[in-house]
Amino acid sequence: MQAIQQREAVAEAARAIIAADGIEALYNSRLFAARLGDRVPTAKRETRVLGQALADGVVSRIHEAGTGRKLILPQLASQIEDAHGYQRELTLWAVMLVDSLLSGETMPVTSPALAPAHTPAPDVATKPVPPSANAFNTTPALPPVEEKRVPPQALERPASAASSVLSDWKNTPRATLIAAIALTIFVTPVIGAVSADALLPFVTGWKAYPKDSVDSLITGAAFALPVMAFAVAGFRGSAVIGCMVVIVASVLVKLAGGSVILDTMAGFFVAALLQGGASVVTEAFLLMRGPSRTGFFSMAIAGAIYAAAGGSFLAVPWLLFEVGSGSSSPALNAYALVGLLIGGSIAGGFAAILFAPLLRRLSASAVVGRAGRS
Amino acid sequence: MTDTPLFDMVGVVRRQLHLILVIDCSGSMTGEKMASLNYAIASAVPAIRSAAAENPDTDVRLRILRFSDQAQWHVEEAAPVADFSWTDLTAEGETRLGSALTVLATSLTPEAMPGRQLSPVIVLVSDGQPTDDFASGQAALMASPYGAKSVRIAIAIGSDADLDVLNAFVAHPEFKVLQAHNAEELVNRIKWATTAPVKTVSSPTKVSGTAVDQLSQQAPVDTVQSSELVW
Repeated sequence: MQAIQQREAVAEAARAIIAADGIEALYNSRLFAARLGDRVPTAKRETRVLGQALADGVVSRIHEAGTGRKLILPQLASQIEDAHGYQRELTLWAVMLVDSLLSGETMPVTSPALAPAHTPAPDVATKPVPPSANAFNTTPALPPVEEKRVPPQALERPASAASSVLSDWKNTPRATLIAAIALTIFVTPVIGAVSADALLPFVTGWKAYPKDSVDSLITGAAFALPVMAFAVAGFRGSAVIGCMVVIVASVLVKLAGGSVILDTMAGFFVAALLQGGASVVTEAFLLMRGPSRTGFFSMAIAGAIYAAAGGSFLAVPWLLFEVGSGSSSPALNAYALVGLLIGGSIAGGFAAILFAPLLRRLSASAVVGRAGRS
Repeated sequence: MTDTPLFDMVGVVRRQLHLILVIDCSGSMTGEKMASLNYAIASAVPAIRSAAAENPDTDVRLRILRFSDQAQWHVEEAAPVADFSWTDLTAEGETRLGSALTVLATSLTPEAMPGRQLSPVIVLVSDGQPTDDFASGQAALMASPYGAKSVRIAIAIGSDADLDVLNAFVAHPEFKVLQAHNAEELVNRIKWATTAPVKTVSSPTKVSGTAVDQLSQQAPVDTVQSSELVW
């Protein structure tokens, strides 16, 4: 059987195991490899490398990478290659397969990066073995394959927004989701409101009426920061979910006789569009930066972009309302708009820096916990 | 075939010795491993007959339990070694060793093995790792009336076999798993595992110590050269 057919067979068997036992099957690397070995006995080296990748914690690393997970696949492959001496092409295939198993996406084994025509695979799993080493095998061992570095761009696969949201929802550890939701509901609005309220007068020089200021900022923070909380949790599609949460919450407040004004309600829908756009920009920004440059700083910038979009949601309808009613001058509202954007961005960046490590740790501990139970 | 003890010509009741082969028929055994195993067992049968002939007061009987996706008796009724003929096994499915040991445990009872019995000899042959709950199967085996008293031997085929599990099955500090890394070794290990215990367990002049203690001293040492590694 050709190498590519072996890999297709292994991938198919892996999906069958996960379909039967769930994604948790990946956390017991020995058992998973044993079951693969029984199902595809001819693909020994593929099974061995995949089992090693799982044993080395690839699942956790991909989970931890969150939205930037596609970018770390070549890095993970290199680490397995360096640690165990497997061929680069095989380790790359293995981590890509794990990623596709986690995301539920199909994996193009015939991609240029993996095509055996470019990288013929020897019939041994690790280091080359002299022909005399195998008394029963008449096939001489092949020389090691010349390594071909695959650029990260070659690994990127287009995925629809809907499938990304669904797969991330399914694969994000429950503890992370619960933490993100808890932060959304209880913590981030308070921190966002307090920080933005404290920053605004310094940034704009504008003295607002305390009641209006607090009402507006709480509403704004309640919108901008939960989206960011999901984002730092590595949850793709966070903007969509965040907007839905806030829209539903505002409708409930309104139905309960709350003080959410009508134009603010409309502002939520405008903001949903803004957040969607910000999400796309941030995703693109993170992808463009490459695997070695993602991290803390990018996270803060992403948070700032999200928060800026949230601030603009609040400012635009408010500006329209104020100018329309003639209650204040356009210049003052323009100051307020700029202030909200800047203040919201700074607050978002700080909040992202504060929450990112916490959520990362929660995510990692959830993965470790699941691995320990299996 | 009958489960009742046979009587020899002078009317002495012969004690039965059940030799039970528990064979991994999972997908990983496909190909050369299974072919070699079939050959090894078939070629061991005459040697077992010879070993049995050296102890005429022992009625050696063979049973074969295969396991993959499920455990299934390949030879369920204990066949007298003189009448035994080997039918080749095929490989497919997963390695449900725990299930196999559970099935095995139900057959190691006085009801399933009536009459005078020597300690049964169980030879487990596997090349992989259990894909089910091995521990519960092992517990069931050790809890069965003849399970704990049995002489347990394990043969690991190739380097992928889970030696920890197989050593747990043997459950003896000195008697380690026998390893087979190529067809020739497998034939030798199977022959030894099916004949040496027959001689030891059925020998009327046992020296001090248990049969397993004696076997552990006789067990072939794993001296395979790297050039002979195949599996």
